[in-house]
Amino acid sequence: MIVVENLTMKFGDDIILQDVSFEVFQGEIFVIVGVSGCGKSTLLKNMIGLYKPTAGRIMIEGIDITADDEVALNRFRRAIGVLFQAGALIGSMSLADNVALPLMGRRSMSPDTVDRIVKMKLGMVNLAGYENHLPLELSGGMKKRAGLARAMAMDPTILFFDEPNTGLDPVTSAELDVTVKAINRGMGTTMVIVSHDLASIMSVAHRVIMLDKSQKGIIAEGDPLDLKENSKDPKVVSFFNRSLEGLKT
Amino acid sequence: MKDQSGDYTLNIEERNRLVTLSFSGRIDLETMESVNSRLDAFWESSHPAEIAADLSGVKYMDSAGAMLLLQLEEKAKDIGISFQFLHEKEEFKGIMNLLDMEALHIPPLISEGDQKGFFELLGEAAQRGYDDFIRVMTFIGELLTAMMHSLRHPLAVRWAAVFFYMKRVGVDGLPIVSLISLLVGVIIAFMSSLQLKQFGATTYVAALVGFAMVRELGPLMTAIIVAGRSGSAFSAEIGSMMINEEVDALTTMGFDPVRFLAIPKVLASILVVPLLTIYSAFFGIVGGLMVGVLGLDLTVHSFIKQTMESFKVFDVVSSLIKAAVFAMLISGIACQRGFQVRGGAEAVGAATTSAVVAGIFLIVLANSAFAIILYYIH
Repeated sequence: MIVVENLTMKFGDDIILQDVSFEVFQGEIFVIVGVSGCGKSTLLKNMIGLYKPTAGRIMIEGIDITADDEVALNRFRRAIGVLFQAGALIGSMSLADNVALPLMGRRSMSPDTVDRIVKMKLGMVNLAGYENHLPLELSGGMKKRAGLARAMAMDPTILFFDEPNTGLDPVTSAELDVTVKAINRGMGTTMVIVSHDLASIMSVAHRVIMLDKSQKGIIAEGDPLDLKENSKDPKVVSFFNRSLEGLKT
Repeated sequence: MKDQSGDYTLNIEERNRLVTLSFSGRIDLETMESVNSRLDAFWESSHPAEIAADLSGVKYMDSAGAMLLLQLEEKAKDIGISFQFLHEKEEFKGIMNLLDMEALHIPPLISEGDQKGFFELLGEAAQRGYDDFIRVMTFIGELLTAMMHSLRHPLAVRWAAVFFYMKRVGVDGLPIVSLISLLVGVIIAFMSSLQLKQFGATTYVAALVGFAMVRELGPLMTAIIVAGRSGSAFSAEIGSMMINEEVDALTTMGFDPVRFLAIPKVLASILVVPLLTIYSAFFGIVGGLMVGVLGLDLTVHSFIKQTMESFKVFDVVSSLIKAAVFAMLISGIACQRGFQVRGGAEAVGAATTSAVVAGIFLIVLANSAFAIILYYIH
């Protein structure tokens, strides 16, 4: 379970997020939505320990990742997986080496076991046979799937995704959504996704929060379909219905 | 967060060639190796007709553990042994259903680093060298065409960018050029004085330092420093632009990338490196002067007089021409290496290294050519 309490994030004098609080439940696909520049990625980077919030606390599975406890933070980092926007594969390494990266340093694991796990993870994202390819030899969608295989190498209990559908064609995007849902269902992995891809949000999200730039925080929370059909907030209605109608007043 | 503590147990019971493998605890990444070796030992010692894997005691299973159990099932079925899972929880079924066991048997689509013979490697290296030569020649052609265009249409040159790179190459590089040249001057003066002292000819230290700095070391040292500082920067900048499709964007907007990106860098280098060379020679002589005055009891006046007599206007002019040619070679090859970048961050690093190495090689090559040509002209 993830608990974000009164999170405030400033860059210099610029307040990006103020007093943001929410919870993510175990096994949930939780999507953070909002228009560009509202602080979605900043919030995600706080949640994965890349940024330290100006104020507030983030508890993930009982660990306070905002406390200055490097040992706990390292334990937390080993327990999560992150899929970055462009896959963030190491360009000089083959796909196999990229996926095996999180397994490095496990002396108890033989090269044969690592090899089998790598093949299995690549198979889970439909990239069987691509282990010797370099990232530059792959399409955008394949890079993302390979990034997902790497993020899942250690079977993390929580997976974070930064705009996984950006730059993908609708078919590839839908394929990725299917993979995400299958992993969530099959392994019970909690998933936190930053996205503004409406089709994907509607397809995968169990619950969403919507961030707003002017409010510097959450303006809506709940089931995406419910927010689309029943929200009274013009910004929420505009976002989920992809229209400017609600904003004209 | 996963509980990293805890272990597993595996009880093996055999009755009338029916083997029951009772797993309990954790079957995951942590315990995988150990479970695997227990199963290997089981296969060696037992020849069952039927296997049942009882998962009732399993508290936690991840995909690595699920893979292990599916491989056990696969192996049993491959050798005609009946196999079944007992007390399989829904969550374990979910994980097992996610795994594509076929993927483990699919061979790589491309093979990993084939072993090549000596002659094959030699042939490939020769081919690469030839391809590189063609690319460099093509780029030189493009660069010279762009330079001619800039001479005919000076207003088409991005002078703001030229001044920007003049500052980057010249003004920003001045401190390191000055310091290194000063130290080189000190070293030459000191080392030569040790030899000349034996013949009572320490007064010639001034001439030696002056001649060496103006004719050879000034242009050479400056060019090597510029290759390391600015050549690498030019290459990395253009290389990053290639990766980010910025060069493609310029092309589609109707700009010639060589004119737009390379010409300002090359022009700035040609204008500013000769100036840096003058500074280099000056600071080298100052370094020699320091040794001469402080260590060899020479007067400032006699040192300067000796120095001024050691070289002629021809030497200064040829040195400046050399510096301009070096500048063109360094910046040209750096831009060419930058334009050659394809792929990712690693390619930018390789291009940058190649730009500096090729730059220094070309400087030394050109310097050798100058030495011979200037000898005959003089």
